[in-house]
Amino acid sequence: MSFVPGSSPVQAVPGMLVRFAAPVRKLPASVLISLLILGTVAFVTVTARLILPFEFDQMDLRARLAPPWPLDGSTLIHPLGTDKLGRDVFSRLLIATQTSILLALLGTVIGATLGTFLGFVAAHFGKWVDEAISTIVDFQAAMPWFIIALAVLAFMGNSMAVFLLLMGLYGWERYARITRGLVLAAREEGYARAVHALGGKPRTIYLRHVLPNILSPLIVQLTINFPETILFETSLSFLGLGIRPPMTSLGQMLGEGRDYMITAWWLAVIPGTVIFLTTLSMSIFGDWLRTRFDPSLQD
Amino acid sequence: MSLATLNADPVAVADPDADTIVRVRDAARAFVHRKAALLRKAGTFNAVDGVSLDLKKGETLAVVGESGCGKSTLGRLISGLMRPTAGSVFFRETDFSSLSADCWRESRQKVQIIFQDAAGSLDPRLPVEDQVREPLDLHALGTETERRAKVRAMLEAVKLGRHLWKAVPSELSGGQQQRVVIARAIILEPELLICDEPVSALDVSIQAQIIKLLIEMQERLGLTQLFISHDLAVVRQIADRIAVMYLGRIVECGPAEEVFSAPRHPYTRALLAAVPVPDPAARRKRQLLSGDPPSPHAPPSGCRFHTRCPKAQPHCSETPPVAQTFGDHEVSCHFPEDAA
Amino acid sequence: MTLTYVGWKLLRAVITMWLVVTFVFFVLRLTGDPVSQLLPDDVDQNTVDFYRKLWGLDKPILVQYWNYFIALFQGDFGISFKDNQDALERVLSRLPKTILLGSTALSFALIFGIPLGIVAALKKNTGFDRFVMGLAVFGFSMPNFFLGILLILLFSLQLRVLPSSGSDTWLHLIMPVLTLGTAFGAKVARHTRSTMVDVLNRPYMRTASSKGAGTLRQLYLHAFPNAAIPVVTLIGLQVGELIGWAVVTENVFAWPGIGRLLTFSVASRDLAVVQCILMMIALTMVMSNLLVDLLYGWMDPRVRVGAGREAVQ
Repeated sequence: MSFVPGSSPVQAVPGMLVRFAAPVRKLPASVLISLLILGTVAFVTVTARLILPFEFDQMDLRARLAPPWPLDGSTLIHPLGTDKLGRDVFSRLLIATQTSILLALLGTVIGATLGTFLGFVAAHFGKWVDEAISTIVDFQAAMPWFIIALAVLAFMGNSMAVFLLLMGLYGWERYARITRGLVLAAREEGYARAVHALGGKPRTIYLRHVLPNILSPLIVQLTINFPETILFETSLSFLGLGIRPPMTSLGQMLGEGRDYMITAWWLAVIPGTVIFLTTLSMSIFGDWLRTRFDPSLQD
Repeated sequence: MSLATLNADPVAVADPDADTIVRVRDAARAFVHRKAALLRKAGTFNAVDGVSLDLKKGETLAVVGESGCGKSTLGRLISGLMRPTAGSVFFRETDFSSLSADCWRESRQKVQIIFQDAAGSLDPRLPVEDQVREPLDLHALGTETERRAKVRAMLEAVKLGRHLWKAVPSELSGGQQQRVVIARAIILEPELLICDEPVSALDVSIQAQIIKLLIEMQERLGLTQLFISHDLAVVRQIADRIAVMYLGRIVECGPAEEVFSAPRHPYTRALLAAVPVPDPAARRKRQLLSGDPPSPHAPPSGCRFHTRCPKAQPHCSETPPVAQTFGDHEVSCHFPEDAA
Repeated sequence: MTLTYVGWKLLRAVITMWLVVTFVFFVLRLTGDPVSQLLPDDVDQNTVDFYRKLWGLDKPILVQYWNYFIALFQGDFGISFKDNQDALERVLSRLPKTILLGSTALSFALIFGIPLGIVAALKKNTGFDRFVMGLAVFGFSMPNFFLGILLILLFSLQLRVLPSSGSDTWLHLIMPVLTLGTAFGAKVARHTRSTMVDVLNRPYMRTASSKGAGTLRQLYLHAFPNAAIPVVTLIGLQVGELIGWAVVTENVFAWPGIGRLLTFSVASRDLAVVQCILMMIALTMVMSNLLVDLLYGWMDPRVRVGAGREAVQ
């Protein structure tokens, strides 16, 4: 990160809330659309099971491989068509989106919490604790987690618990690194020392003063990490690992649909488009957040 | 040279029979100025090198000197923020160098310190009202209503406009920020307040206001103050006693009036001579310091001031001077000046 | 760049490799009898006994560990389930295809990414810049397996101009390269642009531009190399991601490289091959990280490597 000389990284957002509450009118069109898409995705994630027209695994072999409306041979009952077993694509899409997003959220939250916590610990205790944690961080960063996940899934079998663990551990080291650096800087800030001189306990100083002031880079990292986590899960599910039938996720749908590209291309394209739109929106939104939080971080 | 024209408001004079609340004995504090390498130990120097002084309840002791003389370090030692590497610092019966973390935190209710950079010691995000309240929360004093009342009282006492109470520090001027810092420091009603160059970063007109505020607070709360500054004009307004530091040692210490009117150490004389006096007709004996200030990493032998002293004799570079007492007035010089 | 710096980085690399090996060793033992996991079911008893003896499964764990290490050093990773072939042999036979795909994709990404980034920086904030950067965001947001599928749909199934699987002709190479290279090319473009913008803003560049175009040309020759080095380090740092993407891409296009072998072996739990590929990837990662560290150290010994890596993230 290149900082504006003279401004400390910790004070990147004094009055962040003031800037954040800017009028919606000022948002560029791309960001608005992205927020719309993200909003829809979030809505689906929450309400999927409530708005299903069909059960996602309800089969209707007479209506197999029906195309989506308005193509030939489609019906409005199945607006997005049906798959190889006659299951409604729209319903499956809702559930798949819910699964993928929830998993990505879970993974991101776990990774962010673990990473931030370890970053604090490393910065607070220093010396060998810091060395140990930094070494683990370096090693984690040195290996592609995707490959490790593949290997672990091979060795340990494809269980949900293992998969969740792998997702949770994806990317934690980046939060740890950022947090550690920022906490080390923040601790030297006058106000942290002042509260210490007033008799504040370390925990109070961290929670009340340091953490809120380092939130913005962490949030930026979240917006970068979240789409990557989505891609992580969908890639693995696409390959047949990760989420497998009878459960479904966006990657899993895409993987299934791949076998029918000649006869029913929509089975692959529809979930793929959803993935793409979600990660795209998140990237655009994340970029915009970054420029608002700290213009000096701009590309 | 007559410095009889003191513009300051009358200052509460310390009762000579009152208890001594701070006792510093031969305190020293070493710092590393050269990191240890493979075959070399770390190079250290003593920022404070054998300082002894007492603080009596209710008085204001000013510590003056050039930058680098160790007065800030001394302030931190007395406040307990730093531990001496030698000697002792006692606050009442408590030895600051051997406190547990919890006891130390508790002691913060009795001893507080404010610094030069007011904005830097305030959280940029929080309204100043919350920050003044924080010490009460940290030490869990009083009920919610009581705390709010105290915060209100404090903010009024430091004369911060009501409309600014919910502002964040960046919306306040330097003087206002320092008021907030003062309010925060004394809301716990400490016994001892250490002020480390609290007005050096402020405009002169604001300086006077803040000094006045500090004096007022001291009267109201019966505070004992340690006032650190390089600016003798400011010190003149607030000090009961003055200690002059040079390269980690106290060279002169005595009642403010005496030190100003009849300084006995050549260094003090030179410092005072440099203070502008608003009387173009006043002719003063200029006592110029010769040479550059020596580095604290390698202090001169014997009397540390001998390299710049206009009266230096060969004896001065051989033996460190012993403190000589003239009533309340102590001087560390082989050849102290006579009372002018 | 001091000897201690290089030494320390080398040590780190060695320790990482050792950790990977240890990790695999323990995982193998945790999840069952390693011998039966590393050998196909139908292998003859002699081979089973041979390996049992070789890895000394009746001996204390440390001895086993040591033997395992020795075996790895000699290139003995076990026997693949397929045709009872030696695992290492099998992996190595697929390596050339992956290298072909990888290097072509990398070249593609650089050939398009760098010039686009540079021009975008020169025309900062114009329509062209915004267009290119917008394209870049599209590029790296697009999941590469989806891109691959879209390409197949368009070029193989609709237009019927390109083959969708296999690797026999150069035609087979086009879509996989596009799939693997686009996301990385997008990142390269963005990174190049920001580096160029930085360089162009430096004081010596601005005084030069006020002097006239002739000098400007000269300095462009200066600016380009300055922008190039960070890109090289970007590659080094992205190697891990690239490997992951390559695995998926090979899968989409049935490209007979190591990536496809990996997924195949994972699905069939052919752990001998998985173990072999994992070590190979670990080695590649460790070496590329080492090169990046050394490059940083050479560029500017004062730069802390940690800060550099964060900057690229």
